[in-house]
Amino acid sequence: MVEVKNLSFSYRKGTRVIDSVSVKIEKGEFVTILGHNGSGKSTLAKLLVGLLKADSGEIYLDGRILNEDTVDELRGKIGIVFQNPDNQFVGVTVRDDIAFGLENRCYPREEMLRLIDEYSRLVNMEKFLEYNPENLSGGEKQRVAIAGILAYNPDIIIFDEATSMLDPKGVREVNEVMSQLRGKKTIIQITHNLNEAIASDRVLVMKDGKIILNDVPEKVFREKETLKASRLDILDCMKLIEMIEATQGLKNKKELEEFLWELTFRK
Amino acid sequence: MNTNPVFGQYYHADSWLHRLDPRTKILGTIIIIISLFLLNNLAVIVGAFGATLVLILSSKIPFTKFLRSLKMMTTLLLITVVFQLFFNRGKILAEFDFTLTTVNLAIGIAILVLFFFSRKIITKHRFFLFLALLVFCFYLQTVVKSGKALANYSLAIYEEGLYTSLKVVLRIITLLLISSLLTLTTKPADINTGMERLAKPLKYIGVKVSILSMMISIALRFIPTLINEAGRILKAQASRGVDFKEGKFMQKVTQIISLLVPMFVISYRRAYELADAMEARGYVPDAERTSISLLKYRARDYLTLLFVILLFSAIIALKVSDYAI
Repeated sequence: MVEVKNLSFSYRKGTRVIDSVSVKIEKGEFVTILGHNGSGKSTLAKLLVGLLKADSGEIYLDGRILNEDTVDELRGKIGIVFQNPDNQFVGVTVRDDIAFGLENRCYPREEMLRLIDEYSRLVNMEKFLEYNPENLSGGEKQRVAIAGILAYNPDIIIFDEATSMLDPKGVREVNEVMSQLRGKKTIIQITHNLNEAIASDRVLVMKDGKIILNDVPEKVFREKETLKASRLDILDCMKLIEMIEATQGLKNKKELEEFLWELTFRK
Repeated sequence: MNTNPVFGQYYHADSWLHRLDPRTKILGTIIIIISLFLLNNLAVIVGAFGATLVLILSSKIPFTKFLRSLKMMTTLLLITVVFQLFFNRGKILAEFDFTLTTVNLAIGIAILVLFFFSRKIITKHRFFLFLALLVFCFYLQTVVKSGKALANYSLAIYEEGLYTSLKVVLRIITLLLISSLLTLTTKPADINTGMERLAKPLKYIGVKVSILSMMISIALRFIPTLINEAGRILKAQASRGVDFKEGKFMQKVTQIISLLVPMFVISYRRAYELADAMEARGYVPDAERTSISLLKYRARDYLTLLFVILLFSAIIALKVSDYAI
């Protein structure tokens, strides 16, 4: 369970990147945080894993407050997959990389080997254990990163635009792993792509460091004006509905033709 | 794109040297290198060289791989030979009289000019060609005596010089072969782990061994990534019209800067993100951590180390009792 109370953060004095955010995420929930560039969504993720220190407000993970004294311990409860597949691959081989988080937590070697075996299988990377990162695709590297996090068994996993640098195949592979984890882990997905949010239990929309919408996806997607104001694209199916609605006022074939021409030209 | 499975010299083969524990190999190499510097008798050094060749044969690595490391040192070797050859006095082996005349001076200058203009035609091995031509110029001075003599001088080769240069060259070659044997039979990551374990006692005098070895392992991990990146930037800059092959010195400098600046910026950002990723996965610098890589001494490691140490003690013992080895 994640509970954020009145959280504020600014990189420099002045503009607040996170502005009194309060939110509660239940255990096992799949939550998507939507937001345009600079909306503060990635900063919120960094605050949640204790990479940044909040100016004011509190974060509770499983009821325990996150601060300088508890951060080393609470990091075992939360894992984060970053955007760039290359810049989070620490080990020289896949095996070493999955082991990295376990080594840091002083797992004995036999236990590590067992966990590596188990979780490399889960993300379908068991045949690549001896591979070097240069010989892996972006999607494969992200799957290794996920295995490296799952191995130390955190309750919460944050995907911080984890698929935005991948090719379509990589996106599909990572999404498959994500859907496997659903219900077993609390998943916080951060993205600017509305289509990725459809499957989630709840959607939070962020703008200028504030959470402006917090509801189930169906309801959030209906708030077209708010979404547009936060510079987010609306869903493809919503666009279609909008177009169909616009045709309601047309009287004859001529007007329909005109309308279709206008649509084409607007693109 | 660089698809090398492992960065570095490592050559995969199945030999007893590959199977040895990296710590054994590192320690053994260090002891052998120290022993080599203790040896001062040509016959013994030839023996050591021969033994090294046998080791190389047993490593199942093609000899051409070793030639690469020797090639890089040819210049140094040649300079050493020339210096040792002419600057050790003693019994004269051969003496050459040189006469610099107008004729062979002219020929010499002509050869140098030709060499300069052959730049576009002969592109490979120019250094060796230059050396050969230089030797030829001196040879001319001993043969061609026509024309007005400008200067007379002589050079002598002494027995001691010949011996010393042979010793020095053989010693350097053996040293290079032995150290390449270590890097060719051991993966860089294994060398790093071996070093870390060997240097562990240093932590009692305040050396942060674990941080150091983490740094080396991250460097090893990112070298291929950075090479790929440099390749991409080179292509990107070339597509914008930067020509990395031609140009005068100052242009070359600007070209290099156009590569270095993006490399530096990207590496900086990489480092930042990597530090975040490591911290998020629970890395605390210099904290106690376990390791996935298992190093285990086996019978063959003890035997190898025992042999090397016996050899070393024998050399020391003979040295101390004034044997000329």
